[in-house]
Amino acid sequence: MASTPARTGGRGATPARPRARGGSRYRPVLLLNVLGVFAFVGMWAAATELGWVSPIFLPSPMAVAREGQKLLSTGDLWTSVWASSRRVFLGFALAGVVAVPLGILMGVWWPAKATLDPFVSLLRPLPSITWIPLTMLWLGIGETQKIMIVFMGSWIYILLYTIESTKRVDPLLIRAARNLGANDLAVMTNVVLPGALPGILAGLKVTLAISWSCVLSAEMIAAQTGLGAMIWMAKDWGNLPLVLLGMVCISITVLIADLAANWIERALQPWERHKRD
Amino acid sequence: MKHASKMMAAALAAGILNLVSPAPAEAQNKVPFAGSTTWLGMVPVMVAIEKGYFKEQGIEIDYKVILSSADRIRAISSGDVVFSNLGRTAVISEMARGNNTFYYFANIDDSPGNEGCWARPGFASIKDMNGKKIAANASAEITMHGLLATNGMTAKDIQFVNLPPNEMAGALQKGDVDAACIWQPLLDGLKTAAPGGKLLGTDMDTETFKKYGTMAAPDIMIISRKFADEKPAEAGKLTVALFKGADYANANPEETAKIIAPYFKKTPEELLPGVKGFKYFGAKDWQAHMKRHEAQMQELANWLADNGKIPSKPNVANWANYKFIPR
Repeated sequence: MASTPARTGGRGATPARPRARGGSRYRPVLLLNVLGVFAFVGMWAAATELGWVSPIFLPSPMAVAREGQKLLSTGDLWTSVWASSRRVFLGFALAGVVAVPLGILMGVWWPAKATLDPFVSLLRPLPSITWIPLTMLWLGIGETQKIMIVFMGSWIYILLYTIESTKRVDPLLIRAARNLGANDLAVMTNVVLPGALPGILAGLKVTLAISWSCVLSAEMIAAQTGLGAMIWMAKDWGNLPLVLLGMVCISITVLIADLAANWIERALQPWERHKRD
Repeated sequence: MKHASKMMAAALAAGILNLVSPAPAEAQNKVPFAGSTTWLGMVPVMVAIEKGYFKEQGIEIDYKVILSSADRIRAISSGDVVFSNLGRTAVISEMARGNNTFYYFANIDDSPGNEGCWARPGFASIKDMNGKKIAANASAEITMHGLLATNGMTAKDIQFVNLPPNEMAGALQKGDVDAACIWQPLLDGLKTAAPGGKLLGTDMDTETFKKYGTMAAPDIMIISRKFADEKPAEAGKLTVALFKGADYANANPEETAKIIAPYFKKTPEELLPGVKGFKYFGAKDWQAHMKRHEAQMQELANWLADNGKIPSKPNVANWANYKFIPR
């Protein structure tokens, strides 16, 4: 449908059509993105095919593509992607279910924060890989253990983001609501939660990427499927093209997850849409 | 205030300089060796270090613990490590991919009977493992394949679980796996974790042992190609010290157990049975010894390629270098 040029001023003028998302820079940005990736892959191929870098130290993109083709034809690649994704999303969802309500509670009620703060400080610096020995003893080497590693590596970050976002809700808004007769539940649902939501969602997006690094730690131990297991076994057999394929698959999967997260964020915060490109 | 700021800036600069400055000169003269502290095959190196055999040759060794053979060979390829004793499966994998950064030159440990599979109670033989979970890793995986083949089975008949060596005892104890295959002294750990279990077999029950008298996938000593080509005299001295360490370990197991105890973090009494049961190979008849191992290595390479574990069949002899070994 051809666009109608906007006419400004005067009675009967047609209101201007809202600008498309991203404005006039969207296509050039996308073009540069694609060109950049192609240029990088081209340089990589040249470096390996022309012998500037030995394939022992850096496999060529063609070798990586061949591994990808092999795994696609057997269906193993999709199995690995699905296995890792399932563990990430289950562990991440569990972390969200635990950490968001707890973070809101700690953000609004000082006794909860005072009690739990020391434990949060102790747990915060521990990388997920440090939980492997204990979780193996408690949960064995099955799926539950792997999901727990993802949970242990991500819940604390969701908690911290949630606490901060809740604390940053403008106290004037809360006072205004109370002055207008709002009870605690109304304040929570109509002021605190909507006010904290942007920060909570931003924290969830960041932590989703962290969850992916946790699943790699989890899949180092006794996992027969998954991108982390694939990378680890490929490493043991010296199959660097397969290692690189695993890394590329992780990046693409996280990118897709990011796009989905952005869509969910826009859906949950219609009042924020005007701020986005 | 200004003075305090200057002091802080100076302290910060000193701290950054300390972080980025190179290691002291004496540390830089050490020859790095990559090995593990979970396998008694490393004993000749440990003995040679502690008894001063390397020092006699004017060499100081920096023993870097790298648990995985695949990681050890990458450390050699990167130039961070000069020599290593490691599982030959990892070496053959690199040969199959054309990695020319190393030579192999010796086998200092080969002890059939020290790698095997232990099952939880309720299993009488390998045949009972049909459909069951067996954990294995590295060379022990080859032993597992050998035991399965001897009993007319393949990996498709079991559920293979790739577990790191140190995690196997816990998994076996909990029942997460039904059997586990590993080397000494970790094999003793499996027996403790699942008492009343069954030794399903060792590498002495495989075809490899019957044909070559070796373990299914023994260790091999490799050295950086660059180091051996540029400093053949030093490479020769390394070998002399290694062989001496191997000969001492064979002749003095009690003393050896005391020497290696700190490396393994076990008592000499715990290590002595394993040390006594191990065979180490020094200077005596090393040419005939290596001829046998080279043949075994080529057969293993062929098996790995035929079973899709490596992409091609390397001619392993292309990686041999014995020129620097003093006759």
